[in-house]
Amino acid sequence: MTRAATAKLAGYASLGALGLFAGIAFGRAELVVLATPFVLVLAMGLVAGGAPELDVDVRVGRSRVLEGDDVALDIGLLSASPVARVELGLAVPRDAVPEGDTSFGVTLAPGERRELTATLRFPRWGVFRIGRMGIAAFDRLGLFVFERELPATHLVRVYPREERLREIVRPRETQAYVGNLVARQKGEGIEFADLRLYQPGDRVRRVNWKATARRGSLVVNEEHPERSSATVLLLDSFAAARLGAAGTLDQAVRATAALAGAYLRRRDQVGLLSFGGSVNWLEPALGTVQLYRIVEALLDTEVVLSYIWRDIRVIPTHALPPKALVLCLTPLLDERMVNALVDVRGRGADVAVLEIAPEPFVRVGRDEQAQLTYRIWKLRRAVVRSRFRRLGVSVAEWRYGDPLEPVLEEVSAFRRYARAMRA
Amino acid sequence: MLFALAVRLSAGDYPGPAGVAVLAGLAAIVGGLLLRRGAVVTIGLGLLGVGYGSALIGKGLDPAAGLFAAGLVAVAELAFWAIEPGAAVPLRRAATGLRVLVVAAVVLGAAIAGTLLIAVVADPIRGDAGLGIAGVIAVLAIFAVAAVLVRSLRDGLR
Repeated sequence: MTRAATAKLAGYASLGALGLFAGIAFGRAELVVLATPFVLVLAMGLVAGGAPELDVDVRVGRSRVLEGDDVALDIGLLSASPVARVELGLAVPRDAVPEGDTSFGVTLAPGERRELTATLRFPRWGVFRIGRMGIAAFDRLGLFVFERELPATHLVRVYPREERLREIVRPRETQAYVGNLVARQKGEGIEFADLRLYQPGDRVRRVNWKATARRGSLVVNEEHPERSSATVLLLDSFAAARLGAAGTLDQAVRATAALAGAYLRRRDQVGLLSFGGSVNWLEPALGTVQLYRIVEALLDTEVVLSYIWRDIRVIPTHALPPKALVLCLTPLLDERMVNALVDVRGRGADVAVLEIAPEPFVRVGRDEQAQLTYRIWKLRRAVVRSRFRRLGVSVAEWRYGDPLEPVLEEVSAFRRYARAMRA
Repeated sequence: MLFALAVRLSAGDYPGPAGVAVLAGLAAIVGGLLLRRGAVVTIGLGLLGVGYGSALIGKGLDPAAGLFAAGLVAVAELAFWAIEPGAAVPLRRAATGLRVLVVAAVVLGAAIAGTLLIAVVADPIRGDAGLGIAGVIAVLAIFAVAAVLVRSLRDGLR
């Protein structure tokens, strides 16, 4: 611990010196008497002002929590020597909210162990380092302060709360693997698709005897096989709109976690692609482990400001497998993301866009110019949406506070309509 | 005290140098408490001492000097306690109680030491010797205080 003198020590030293000098200079014993207590206190403080032997340990209750949960920190203090006063101040990380006291003052007897508890609430997802605190121990006379700073050594991972989705956007094409989706192709399965004439190699159990009797030649059933699908959740990390504690990136992360969980529960493959100032991806895979990988990857998502022009050539092909649905969550604030989506669509991919509306996070000035600028900005956004729709890409706007399912239904409805138009 | 001062001022009884120094000292102490500056509190305490010293001009040995010293150190202890960093941190009752005991002990010790010193100096037989002893102690104390100051400047001042 580093020792420092307090203002009291300097004050007492000054008063003692002043009184003694004045007493000698003016020949008045009374002035020496005035200075005596200050000098005696200084002397006692020097004799007894040794550094305390203080041990501090910090334990975190839970290191993995959901948004809005509390995390308790247990702080243990142990001193081998008496400490007149110990003050602790726990640093509260950004985006965390203290629940109760985070500053404490205690006195310790030799060998006494004191347990203190501080609670922090994490309303927002992310990875947080906690445990940084300043410790100041004062001697009995308040002349010296012994200080130490403990670094933040504990990691708390706060996961986004996922919204349970009953309906999600269905990919147009399925993959070759077995899954829960009824494929459009014909083959072996449960759902009846069509009848055709028997061909050598068809199994006898597939023969439709009623149709065979009517036709006079062997007719077999064709079914729609059950296949899995692949979905790539494309997260826009170029830019985000934020107002206070809420923002478009928070919405996007929560929606991504919810969609990943919903698709993986259907036994579909899900991949993640964070496209922005930095590009990170997870290849589509199945199972609970993939959900954990996606959620962990989401915790590290942040908007990295970059002016580098990025296009889809930086995305490896295995991150965007063929026939996969590319579901993009974006506020459509950055032109690079718009162009990237147009390119992906141009390569024949199945693309859908969930537009996370930035308007609720925008404060518009009241003057005429600000209002005009805002209207022009909204018109430009409408042009972008129109451009996507002409390409057959569904765009649905999701506003802050609205549930996600109706927005997904809007995307699905557009895709059904677009398919009907193409047919 | 302010009321008494107002009454005396209204009667045309203006304070002398001692009174002015004491009033200035009190104002500086209050200012130091409001601004939370130890240096201002120190100046205020120094001015109180100057006021007391000014009041002694032309008078003999004051037998109550010990009590004044005890009062001055009591004001100093409480003032510096109030402006200590972290003074707003809620302390457990035991910590506050212990600090009160320490302050009381310092004040009592100051009163006793001051009274004893005055008694030694006031003795007509041993008075001169007492003054000499007090002078030696003062010189030693000056060196000790200087050493403390140098050490505190080296370690860092708060």
